[in-house]
Amino acid sequence: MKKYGLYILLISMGILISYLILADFLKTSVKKRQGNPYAYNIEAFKKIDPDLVKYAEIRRIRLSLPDPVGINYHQGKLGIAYKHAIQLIDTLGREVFNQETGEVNTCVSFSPEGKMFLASGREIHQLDPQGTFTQSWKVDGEDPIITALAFKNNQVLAASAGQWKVLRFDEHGTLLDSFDGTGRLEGDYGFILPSPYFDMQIDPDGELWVANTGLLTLENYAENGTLRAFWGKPSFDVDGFTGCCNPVHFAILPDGSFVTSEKGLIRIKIHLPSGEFDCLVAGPEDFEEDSEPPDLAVDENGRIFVLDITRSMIRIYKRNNT
Amino acid sequence: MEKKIKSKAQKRREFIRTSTRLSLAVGLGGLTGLVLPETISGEWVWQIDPFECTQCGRCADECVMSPSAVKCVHAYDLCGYCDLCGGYFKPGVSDLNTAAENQLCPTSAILRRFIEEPFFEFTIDEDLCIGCGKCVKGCTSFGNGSLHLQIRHDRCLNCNQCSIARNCPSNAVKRVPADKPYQMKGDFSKS
Repeated sequence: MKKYGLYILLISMGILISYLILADFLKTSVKKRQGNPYAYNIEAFKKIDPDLVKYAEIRRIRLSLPDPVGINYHQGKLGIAYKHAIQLIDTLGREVFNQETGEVNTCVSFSPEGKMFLASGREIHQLDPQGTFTQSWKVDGEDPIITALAFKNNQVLAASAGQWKVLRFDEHGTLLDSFDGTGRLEGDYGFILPSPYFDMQIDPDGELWVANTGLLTLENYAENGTLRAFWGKPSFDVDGFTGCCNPVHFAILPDGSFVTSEKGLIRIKIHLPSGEFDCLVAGPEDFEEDSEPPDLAVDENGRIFVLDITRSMIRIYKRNNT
Repeated sequence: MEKKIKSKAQKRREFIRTSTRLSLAVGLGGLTGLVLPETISGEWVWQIDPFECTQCGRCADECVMSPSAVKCVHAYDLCGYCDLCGGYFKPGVSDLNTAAENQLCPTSAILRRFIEEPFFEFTIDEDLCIGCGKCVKGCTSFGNGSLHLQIRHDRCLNCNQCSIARNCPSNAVKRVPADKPYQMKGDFSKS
């Protein structure tokens, strides 16, 4: 009889202990936790006025290789730089070639004559239409990170985010000179690049525009490297640029308007040639949370090619008929 | 016949004895194998891999220390010394000054100091920092991620089972050798 009492006691204690363990587990399980009380909340800024969106996504091209980093367009073809490869496709996604590369690539660009150039950190390569490397040169100096290439007067301009400089080479890769953006009218800051994004484009009039991300401006430079004009302002509102270093990428439409891509709060926007905000192409809710900021390219018809790095696809946008 | 049965029984006992010895030896050997590397290489401590951290806020609340032994640290060689710092200012502020309502940090643990136009230096007051990672999220999203979280070993008790590690949703808290106790950005890159 005594034994039965002991058994009942032991079983009851076992049930009680199991219940306590289970209750504690369920109470503290990940699903039961409240959200992060210290969350960095930018949800309010993610909501955009749908009337400001004047572009529609018309097609997507899923990329066939991993780790895309940059995109550019020339006469019906899209050059895509991947971390360890380069690819040329048409605007329907059909491949012309792909070529593996040893280095970590950073950007791709085309000269006005259609020569394809690829930058991989401290090296610049030229490729023929079949994807064979025809010329390469190394960029000297401490930590050059070439993030954009542009072409003007048979010269190759390279934006070096590591050196905070634009380097000018002749077509054979000989360094001619460089400029750092100093010598402006107000202050003497030059290029300020807190993060390794430093884009550069030539507009339809042949003018050089550089993204001075630390100052949240797009800047126009003369031949001798002096600042001629700039626009851009810091703001979480849609007409400005957010954070410490934006816009991270930009492209210029045939009418001279700017297409900009921002990081942090990912927004693709159109600004008029004067810099005034025009409209939105895509807002933060069109991209995954914490996405890599997309690189951009435009064609002669004003279509915008957005390289969605996180989803590994090209998203093509066209302006709505108004 | 009896002898045969006896010999069979002896063999069975011998087999059981040998098996027991063997499993004991294998068990002990395995245990030694697991423990030996740690013993040989010395002490291990807990640390946060900044590239795995998702700034979930649990480091502030789950540590047995109060305030938490996790603190925000700053990789000055990576910092852009920006005027508009995403780790310092609340999103959408209109004035870039040190007014409390403009600061992102819930305890005002980040100090902003003017260096020269247009650069500002940001330092962490570790006595005020609670390791919530709010500034880290802002810096990572809008800046270059120079602010990040680390377990400060002058405060950490190095518990056998770290309470933060147990609750970290991204498994960013790991054991590291005590002779390399920090995984600071700049010195340490994502492999």
